[in-house]
Amino acid sequence: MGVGRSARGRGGAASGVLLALAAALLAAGSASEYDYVSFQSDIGSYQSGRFYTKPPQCVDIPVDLRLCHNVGYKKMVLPNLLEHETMAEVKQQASSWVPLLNKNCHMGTQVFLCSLFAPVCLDRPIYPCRWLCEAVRDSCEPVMQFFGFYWPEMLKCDKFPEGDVCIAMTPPNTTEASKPQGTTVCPPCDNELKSEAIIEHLCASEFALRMKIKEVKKENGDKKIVPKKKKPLKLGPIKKKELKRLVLFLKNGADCPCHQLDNLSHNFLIMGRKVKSQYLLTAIHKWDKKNKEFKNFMKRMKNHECPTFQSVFK
Amino acid sequence: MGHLLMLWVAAGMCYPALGASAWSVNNFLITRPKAYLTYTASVALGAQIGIEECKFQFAWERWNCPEHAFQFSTHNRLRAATRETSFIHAIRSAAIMYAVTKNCSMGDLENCGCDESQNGKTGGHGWIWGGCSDNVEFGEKISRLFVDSLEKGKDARALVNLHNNRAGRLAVRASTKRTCKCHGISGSCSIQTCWLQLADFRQMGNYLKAKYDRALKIEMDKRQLRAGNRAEGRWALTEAFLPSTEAELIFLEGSPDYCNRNASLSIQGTEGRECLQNARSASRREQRSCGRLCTECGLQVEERRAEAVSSCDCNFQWCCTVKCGQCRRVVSRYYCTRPVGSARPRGRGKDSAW
Repeated sequence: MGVGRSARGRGGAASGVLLALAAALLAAGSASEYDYVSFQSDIGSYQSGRFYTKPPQCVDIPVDLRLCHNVGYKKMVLPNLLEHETMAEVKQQASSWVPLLNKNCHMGTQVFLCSLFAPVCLDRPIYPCRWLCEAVRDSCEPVMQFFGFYWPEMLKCDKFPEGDVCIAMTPPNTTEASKPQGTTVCPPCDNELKSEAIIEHLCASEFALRMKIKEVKKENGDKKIVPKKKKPLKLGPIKKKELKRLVLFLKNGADCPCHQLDNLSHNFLIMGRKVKSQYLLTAIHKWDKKNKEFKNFMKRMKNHECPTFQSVFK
Repeated sequence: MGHLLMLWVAAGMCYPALGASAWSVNNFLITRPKAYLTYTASVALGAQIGIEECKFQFAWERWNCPEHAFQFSTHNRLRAATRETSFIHAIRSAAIMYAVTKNCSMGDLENCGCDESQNGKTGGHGWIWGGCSDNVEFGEKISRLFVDSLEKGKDARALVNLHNNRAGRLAVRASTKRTCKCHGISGSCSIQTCWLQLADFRQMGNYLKAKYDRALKIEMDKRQLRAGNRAEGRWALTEAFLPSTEAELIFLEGSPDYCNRNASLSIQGTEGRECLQNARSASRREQRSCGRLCTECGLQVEERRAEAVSSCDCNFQWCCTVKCGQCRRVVSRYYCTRPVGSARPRGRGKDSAW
């Protein structure tokens, strides 16, 4: 399987002869000097003028590419603009962004992410606008930090175009109404109770446990969660001997509400990841066998296989 | 005759373990030409890449890498071993090695593929080997097989050509670099997989152009040149083939004057050539091309203006089209022309880089 294509070089320049011919034709015709026409093909751009590179293909966006299948267009370029070579790789890397999408931190999040993960089929690559990247980053990175993530290198905004043609859904001067302060729910507790979303979260998390909670208290700006009984569904980075003394943290969550923790008499489904030596909670659900969606999740969990980088990067 | 010889050499090297007696004549005719053809397309592609890169690197030089310079006729033996010839041999050898290596990695060739010998092993802190490492060993083997087999002589010129072929392949090896992908959650680099990948061929073109500018002239007098097979001649070249010079381009003969047309040497001259002036994005050397191609060759620079139409004010419209306006602007181009009434100019004949 081929991977790691070379970075794209400069696009091919249009032929001077063709330009001269176009000028002659325009002079003969009655077209005005400033007409909107469809974007002219720039054949060299995708291939960097190198015919030994495999050409990108325009493929359907699959239904199970959950990040992008409802973005507003149906076809995408593969390899994408993040140099993911296969659809399996795209799905694997995109899956960890679906939970962020569900947080609704910015209305342009999906358009921004999908312009890179599932770029529209055009004659040449079109990148997201820098201002869109900055708006999404500024609104979403605070949410990401609740999960122990920072804005990744691959999405750094200064690599995206400022004056050139670029992708954005909303006009630049739209002002995002900020959410009222003080009533913001802890992001790991702000979850939709849908089997699909829970499965996505499970795949995006490193570990998952069924557990009862002994107590919740504040510690260094976090909520510290002390389990009582725990049964692993997915161990990930947790070693068996660590499981006994396991303590979870709701990062930066000392003062935000988490309604699931209002009543500790239930069993909980808890998902998380390890950051340095702390185990961070990334999602929490009441373990509710009577709930239809939760029952669906339990059924699907038995057969569902999360994509792993070993399985897609071969 | 030479072609058949090349066929024989190619086939023989593809299956070194098989003795000639193991094959019937029919088997030979059926299988060996096919094996030969397997790589011919890749080699031809590589040669084309080499030509294009050479044209790019010398676009604004007096010698602008004319296509005929890459052709090898029955008079190949008589081709002068100039600095320009050294570049041609190196870039062609490099390009063929590059093309075969890339075709292997993309699965275009049946009996070679990625180099996955290290896959799964820990390469360093936080990363493992994986993916498709470019199989440079195989590409190098095929390049050497096809390109070096073109040198049938044992004289000084043949030895110089073989050296420059090897220098081209060393340029490809030098461009191999580790490339990584981050597979962690949300694009984090907590999990990284790395592989070895050849750089874009432009990088090799740039590298060899720099070698061309610093190429080494091997001094031999005319007697030694004619008597290439004598021990004295061999010793002279052997001395040049020290480890410290193996990556350098070498040549034997000074370059002709490329200013003036010379039909017997297939030199077009610089009259009528375009050159760059006032081009903001051009390198300093490119910006001086009018001086180098025109003024120093006794010609004058003529400006010609034309109206050009191009896309401008492009906007992406949701979803999903790009709309552009059309802008007209005057473009100036510059050409070397002979001054009115002037005598045939005297051009430079130095062999040093300019």
